[in-house]
Amino acid sequence: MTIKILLVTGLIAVCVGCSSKTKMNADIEQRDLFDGSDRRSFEQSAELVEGSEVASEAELRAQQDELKREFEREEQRLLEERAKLDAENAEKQEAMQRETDIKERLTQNDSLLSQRSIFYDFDSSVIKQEYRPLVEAHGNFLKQYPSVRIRIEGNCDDRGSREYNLALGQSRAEQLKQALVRIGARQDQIDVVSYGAERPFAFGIDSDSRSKNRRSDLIYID
Amino acid sequence: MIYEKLTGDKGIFRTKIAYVIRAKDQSTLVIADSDGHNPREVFSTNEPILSPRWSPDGSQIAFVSFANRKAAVHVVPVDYERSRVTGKPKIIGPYPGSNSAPSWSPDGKSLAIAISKDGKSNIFIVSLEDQTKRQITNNRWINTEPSFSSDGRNIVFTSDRTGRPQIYQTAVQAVSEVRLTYEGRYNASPQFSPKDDFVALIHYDERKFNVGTLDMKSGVVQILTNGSLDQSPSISPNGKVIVYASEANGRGILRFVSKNGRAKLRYVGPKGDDIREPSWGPFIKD
Repeated sequence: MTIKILLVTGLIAVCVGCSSKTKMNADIEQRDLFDGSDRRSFEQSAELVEGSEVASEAELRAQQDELKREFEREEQRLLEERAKLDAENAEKQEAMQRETDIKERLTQNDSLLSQRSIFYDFDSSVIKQEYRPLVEAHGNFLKQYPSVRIRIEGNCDDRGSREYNLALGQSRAEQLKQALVRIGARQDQIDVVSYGAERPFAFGIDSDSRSKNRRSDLIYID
Repeated sequence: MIYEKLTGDKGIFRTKIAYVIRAKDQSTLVIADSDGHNPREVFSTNEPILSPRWSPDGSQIAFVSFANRKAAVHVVPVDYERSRVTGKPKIIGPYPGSNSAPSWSPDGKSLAIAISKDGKSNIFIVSLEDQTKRQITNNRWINTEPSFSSDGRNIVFTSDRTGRPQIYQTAVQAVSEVRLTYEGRYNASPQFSPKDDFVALIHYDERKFNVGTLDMKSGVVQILTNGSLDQSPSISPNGKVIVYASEANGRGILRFVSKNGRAKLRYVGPKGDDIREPSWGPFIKD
């Protein structure tokens, strides 16, 4: 930046005494400024404008003003560039921090967010009262981090019709999605699928195994 | 053979059944003789398979499996006589949402399927020629398991619009939904008999799931089985025997029951295979 300011200042100094016909160029380079041939062309130009001194002084001032403005514009542009870079860096840092926060909060073992399954009564997709805090924690988390995506997988136990269970699992997952959306999650953050009774978590045929299979799982997608 | 014993009828001896063998990470579609024997494994996948259904002429099987975590209806061409597939399964659609529960129209040109989307499941008829779809049911509940009547005019299906699954019937051309079952907490998996005179179903009475029939004239439900987890009934093409999935020692097996409930048989797979989802094929033309 310092070099650029020096450059522009030098340009102004050299051009005091140039004619209106001297072509100004802000992008002119240092070696051109102090090149002998150029200096000669300035002198020749000065001879040409003799006799119209008043006009040329006004013109010179105008040129100087123009150069100053150009200098100011350049400075402004550089400032803006720097500000933009700073903002980008801050944003990157923030995103990294956010990423770290998300990871940290999702890997905390004892938090509500670490609980990713809710369980149902037979042939029901009603979210039981006891799961309200869990649903609220996930809903608020999704609301706070709109970039986070999840998939809800609805499941059923092996009793009854397989096809009806496929639809019931879909209904369980969809109702959980709508509960999260009511808290503040966005629709497009949540994908919903059903495996019906086809992907049991527990393989027993006792009531304990079955109650484990009537569930919706919240899967956070990397 | 065993069907003569069951029904005194030779008619279904040469028919086939399809069923699914489920292993931990693999499902296999099997075509076997109508008593379950001589199984031939015709298609395997890592995804679950359910609801195989023979086309009316026995030249294709529709079934449900999963693609990108969503249920999708597949159709595979088969050689009925030789118990084998003659091509690769093709996905019908897929239409947005979960696609399942295929039922062939009697002319074999379309399938009634259930499409689950945005928290509701409705029945559509999709054309196999141009994949266009026509909506049959239209409400925010579960409507699934359509089954065409043999004349193609009506569809019976399962719906939970009262809060619990029950059997309903609608005309195909004009929507006119009628509830058919009132007894029991849970009635599902309806299938029209070949003469449309009864519907096979599963019935739950708070203790166990059993296979029964719903008489279409009287509306009476008759329970035919006494297992605890009987499901997926499929009727023989002569309407006299029902095959269904049951359990023995924690494994899926097939059981057969005559329509009057008197004769019973079972088929246990070799090597303790976990068997499910039987579907009875049509008569073959000689």
